[in-house]
Amino acid sequence: MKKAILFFGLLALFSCEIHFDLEKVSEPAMYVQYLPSSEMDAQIMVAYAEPAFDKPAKQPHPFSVSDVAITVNGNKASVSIDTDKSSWNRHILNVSVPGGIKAGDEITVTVTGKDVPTASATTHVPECPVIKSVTLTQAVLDSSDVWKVTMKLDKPVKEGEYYGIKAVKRNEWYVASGPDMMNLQVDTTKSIEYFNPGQVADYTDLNSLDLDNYVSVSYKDGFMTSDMYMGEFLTLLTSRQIEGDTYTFFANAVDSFAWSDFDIDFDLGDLTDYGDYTDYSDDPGDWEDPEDPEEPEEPEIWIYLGEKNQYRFELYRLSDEFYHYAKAQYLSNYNMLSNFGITPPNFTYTNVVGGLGVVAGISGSGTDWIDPPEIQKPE
Amino acid sequence: MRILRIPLILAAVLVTAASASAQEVERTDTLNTAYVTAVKEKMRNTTQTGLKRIDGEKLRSGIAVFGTPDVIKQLQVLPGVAAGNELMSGLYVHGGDGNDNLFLLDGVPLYNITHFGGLFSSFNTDVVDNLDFYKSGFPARYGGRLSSVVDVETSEGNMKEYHGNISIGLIDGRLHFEGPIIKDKTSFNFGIRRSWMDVITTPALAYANKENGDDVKVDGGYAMTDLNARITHRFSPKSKLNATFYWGDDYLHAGLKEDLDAYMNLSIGTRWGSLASSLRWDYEFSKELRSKLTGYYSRSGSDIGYGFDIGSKSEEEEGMLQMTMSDHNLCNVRDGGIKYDFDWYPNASHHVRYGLMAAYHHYNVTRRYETSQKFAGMDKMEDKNESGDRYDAFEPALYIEDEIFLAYNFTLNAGLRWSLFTTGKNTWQHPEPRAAFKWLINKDICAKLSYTRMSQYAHLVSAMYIELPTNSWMPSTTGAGPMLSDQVAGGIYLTPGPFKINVEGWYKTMQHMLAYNGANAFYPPLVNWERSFTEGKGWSYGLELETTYESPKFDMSVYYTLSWTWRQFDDYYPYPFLDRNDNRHKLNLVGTWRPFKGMSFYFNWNYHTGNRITLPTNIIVYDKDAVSAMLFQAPYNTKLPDYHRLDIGADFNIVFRNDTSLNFNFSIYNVYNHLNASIGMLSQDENGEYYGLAYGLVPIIPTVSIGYKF
Repeated sequence: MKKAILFFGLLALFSCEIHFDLEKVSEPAMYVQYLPSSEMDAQIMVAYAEPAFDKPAKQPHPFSVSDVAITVNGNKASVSIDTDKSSWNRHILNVSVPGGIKAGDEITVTVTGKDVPTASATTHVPECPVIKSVTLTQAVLDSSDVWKVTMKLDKPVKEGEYYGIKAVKRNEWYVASGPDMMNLQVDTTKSIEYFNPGQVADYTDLNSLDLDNYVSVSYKDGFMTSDMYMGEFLTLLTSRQIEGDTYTFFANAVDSFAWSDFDIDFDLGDLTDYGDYTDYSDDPGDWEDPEDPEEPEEPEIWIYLGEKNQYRFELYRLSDEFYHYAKAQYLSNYNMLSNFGITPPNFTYTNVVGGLGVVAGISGSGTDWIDPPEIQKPE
Repeated sequence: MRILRIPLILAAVLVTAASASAQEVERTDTLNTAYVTAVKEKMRNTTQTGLKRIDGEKLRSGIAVFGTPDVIKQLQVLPGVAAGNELMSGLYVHGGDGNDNLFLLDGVPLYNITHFGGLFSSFNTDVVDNLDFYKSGFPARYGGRLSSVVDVETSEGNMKEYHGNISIGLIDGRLHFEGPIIKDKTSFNFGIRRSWMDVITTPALAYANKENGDDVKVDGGYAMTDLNARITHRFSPKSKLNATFYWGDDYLHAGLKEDLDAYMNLSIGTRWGSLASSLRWDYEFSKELRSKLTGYYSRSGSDIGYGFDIGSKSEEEEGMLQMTMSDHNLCNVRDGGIKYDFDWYPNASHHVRYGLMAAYHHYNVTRRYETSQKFAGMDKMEDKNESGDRYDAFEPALYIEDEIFLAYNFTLNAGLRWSLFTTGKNTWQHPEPRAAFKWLINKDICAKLSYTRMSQYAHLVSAMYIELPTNSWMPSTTGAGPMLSDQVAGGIYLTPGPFKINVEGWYKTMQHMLAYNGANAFYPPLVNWERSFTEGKGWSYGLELETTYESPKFDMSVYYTLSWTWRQFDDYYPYPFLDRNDNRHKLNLVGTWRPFKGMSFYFNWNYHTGNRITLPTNIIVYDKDAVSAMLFQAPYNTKLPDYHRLDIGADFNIVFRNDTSLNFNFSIYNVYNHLNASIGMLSQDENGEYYGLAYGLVPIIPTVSIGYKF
């Protein structure tokens, strides 16, 4: 009986598949990503974007970039082409702008490729307000202990502006371990973590009453990707979320161990040493190898001594193009329900004429590492 | 051929069965058909464009998916209306967003008008007297929504005799009862509808639990209930009081109990629905001046809860772990209001309507969270938290409209509505001009033109396009201001012989529309909700053709719409794009055949251009067989295959000597089992070729219902 039910169930499932022809609405095009910034020399990525309605290439596509021209306020910059060997059809181009790029500059990029239309785009590098101060206050939100972060800027934001914020937590964790009490050694684990400001509860929670609905992309080394495993979340904001010169958000970054009854009050002053700081967030060696049979020997005594957290915040002013592209990237990756016609759609924003991708200015301002106030044990 | 066999056999059976009783059958209009007609004379004599009046009898003989006539599904057939997702209660009027329709039940605005995720509408047709559906040319007495007005009036109870009916369909059962409380003075009209799926699921689960033994128990079920009541009292021929009440409720729950080495109780319960009540005094001051004074209270909301209770129970582990948690998310909107409407005929050339209203809105979202944990050797830890937000709003409005008979063949309706909305520190006010003009060319032809401006201060907060209890209504805020629409509509209306031909066109713009632009979630944030939405605009234009033929034995209507619906939301795509419900062509053929007294057959063929979805247009292949990035050039860039479906049905009415009757209704939804594309995506075949892949979800649905009328 069960087999019959399964058979008819599968029959019903497959019988409701409908194949339909796709309207040919696209042609081969170049994908261009260039995010000029006043803080760093960004590179240009150029890739071949084949039409989704054609049979995909089984062999490397003979795609090459013939010419790239960049002008900054009308003055031509030099570009060197360095093909990405790890990919068939992607080129990474180094750009050198004499005197660097400054806020307010107008950047125009024109890329000529073989057998594809010439792609061009223009953007402006916006001016970012400077962070004057950041204050952390312990608060309870949605039954969670959070930091209420108040960021003061040197000038008020204007309506219609777009921003991004990176929030970074640096953690040093101290434990004493060893075979017995007489042979304890103090170990320090250091890590760095990028987190979404405003993220209080897990977003899969039905109604988190989350005060800031976060949408993030990864912005790293001058490129943007929606792949969160790349780290360095850039959470997108609009001017509506910033009141004048003050941006307030909640950070789910209070460590509950800080008031644990098991805490032993050690003087950690001598242990603090940032000299050997390691960013574990990007270290592939941090991942456990399931095929490695060797397991580390567990110490018989393990005592949590304490930890030290510091925070750093980076505010970015985004050009309109940057914001629109980033938001679309996020939604296209994390809005799978749109395929079912029940949520708003996926799409990819582009400001590249004759091609796809984005050319978008960005500028930033950051703080030093901030020590949070002492964490209070809840009542 | 295969798909035709079932309906043919069924039709043959039905005709045979009906013939036996045809001698005793009286002629009634109880066909389940989408047959909808306007009042011909009214259409010719008023300036109104875009109006459909449907009386209760027609509603009860409409489409009966799952054996229950549905008001919204009948409106979906009309030109200028897109239905959205199949089987749902979407109403996208003249390019609207579906959340911009004003639903009035006895004058009380309703926020939630569906059951079971939109599968059924909340209006019980047993108690409905008539319905006015406005798509354009909105009279000044209506306001608060952009795209349409659905004004439903329930029937007064019979002042002389007791009558009623009992019916049961595939999903639900209905009971309707009416009659005098004091003969010729006071009457009541009462209707209740309840689904009975839980009648099946409860014993099924009981059997499953018995099979599972005592250690594991599963619980679950769903029930929807509608209750309508109306009491009417006539003080005099000039004075009448009406008290109306509506309560609609959906309850979905599931639970799991395990009683093994450790115990575990999990439960999920969701309840949502509406309540509306009103008291209306109709008074005729004189033949020239009449009034209606209405006070009302309504509530709409949901409570989504879940929780668990787990722990260890064996002796050696007793007290090792005990943990309980309950989490409830509640959101609701409460309205209290008063309206005073006047009808005044100062002379033969003017018909003036004027009035005022004031409404108080209270919007509330709350989360109640409670947890308790006890670990071995530690004190019990408890946490109780209630958080949320509340908004209060006040919305007064004034209106006046004058139907001016300029000459024998020229009529002008000029009106103005002024609305104000204040909440927190924000106050908005909008004058909303309304104008309509009619030129009676000859007795069979007239032309009409109308202009309306509408404003909307309430927004549906939803991350999805389907009706879920997680959706909630919120007032306009600084970040999400009131929505506005301007619409021009006009047409030619002909009545040659038994035919009625209407050709209407419209152009509508919508400002400050909202679109969800946040993270993928079933439940959008409800505090500072506007941060998850982006503002944009929309516009729509099109042409509607409505041709109706009426005769004693056969009626047929042809509805055709040619339309374009555009959107532009700069925050996520800076160029105009076609909306997902941009059905370029829509055609409906609706007919009723009454061959004998008490027997009627109907058909309803639906066709429309496919809904739109978003598919990638370009692909970057970084390496062999590795698609690295899919690029989408614009929202809703692909059209799903065209939609078409045929519904048929038959009604058989057997009248007994004591004036009671038995009614059988047989309906077949999607009779030729055409699986229409509901969802779509990009797929690849074994050769790497891309193609569109869609899934059809709604097959043929035969239903039967039986009713006894007394």
